[in-house]
Amino acid sequence: MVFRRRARPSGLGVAAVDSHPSDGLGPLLPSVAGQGDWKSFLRAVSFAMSHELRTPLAVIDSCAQLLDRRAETIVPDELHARAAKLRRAVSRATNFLGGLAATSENSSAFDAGWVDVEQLLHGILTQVLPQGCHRVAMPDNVALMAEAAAVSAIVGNVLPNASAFPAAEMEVSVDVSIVDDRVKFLIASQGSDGVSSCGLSVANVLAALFGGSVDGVCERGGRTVTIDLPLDVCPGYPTICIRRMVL
Amino acid sequence: MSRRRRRILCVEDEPELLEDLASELRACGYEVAEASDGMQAFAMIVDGGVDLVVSDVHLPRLNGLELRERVEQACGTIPFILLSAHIGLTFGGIKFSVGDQELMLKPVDYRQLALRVERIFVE
Repeated sequence: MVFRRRARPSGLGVAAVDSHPSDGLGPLLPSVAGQGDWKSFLRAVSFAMSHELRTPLAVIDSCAQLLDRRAETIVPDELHARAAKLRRAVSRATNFLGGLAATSENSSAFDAGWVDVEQLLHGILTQVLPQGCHRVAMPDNVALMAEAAAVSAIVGNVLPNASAFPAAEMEVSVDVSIVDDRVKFLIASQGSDGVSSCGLSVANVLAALFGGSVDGVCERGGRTVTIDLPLDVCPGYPTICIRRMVL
Repeated sequence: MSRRRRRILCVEDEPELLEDLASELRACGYEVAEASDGMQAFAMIVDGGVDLVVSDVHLPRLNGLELRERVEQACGTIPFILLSAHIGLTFGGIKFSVGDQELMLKPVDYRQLALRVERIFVE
């Protein structure tokens, strides 16, 4: 089964974040507040977070109802399947919460306003995966610099998600490419199980602040998440979150 | 004389929830089709044979409210039961409230859902 989750319109109307203290989501909030759209941003983030938590809770509730209703007739195979489903739902919730915590942790590792994208990706992946389980490919002849608070908050919400329910031989690869005036992060995990898209909504809201989007495709045996962010100046979004340095 | 079983289309983008929702309605004796986004659901409804749509509000590509509106324009009135975790909030310019007959709060109580479906078909 394949399903897609596309960044939904956030209704933020927020285009600019002028200052970039590097401490995760927290500093982004007052920065946006400075643009006079604090309420919209807070509402969008709260809504996304609420959705992310309610979904696994709804799965748990659904399992409980079905177990209760079918208690007299349930067969062992179905019982095992239900137990696995419950555990996946709990993993999704804890993974989401872990992602939020990691966002702050990851961001605080980058004190400078601007940080090399490759360095940032390695930094985050090292924290969420065992050593040697990730690969990062960057475009040739160009160095990409990311605004640390913004990009680590977006990527930091996606990477723990990409590595949810890892199998022993799992690998996460991040392929960064430049297409026209956009930077694409193609994050693929092989060997992971489950169909969670948890955490993507928050990343969507954050990416939308800069004119970007997040798109996830999950299927049994692997998952792919694409983060699309503007490179340099994006019309309508005066704040740059990624800029290039030609080598 | 045999009567055609009522056919319900369940629309939900979370596969784990879609599976349970469909399973519960099948257990109630209905024929159930499944869709994971609004566009897919719309195509299935236009194909015909859907007596009731049970749909999440927050869906990719076409949300539950847009789906209902499009279906109304294309096929006339087909009853909808919309599912949302955000009753009390405004979505798509519409304020949801607990009293809405066609709206159910998530997590869905399957017994309540079955009763509501039955009531719609009786009416």
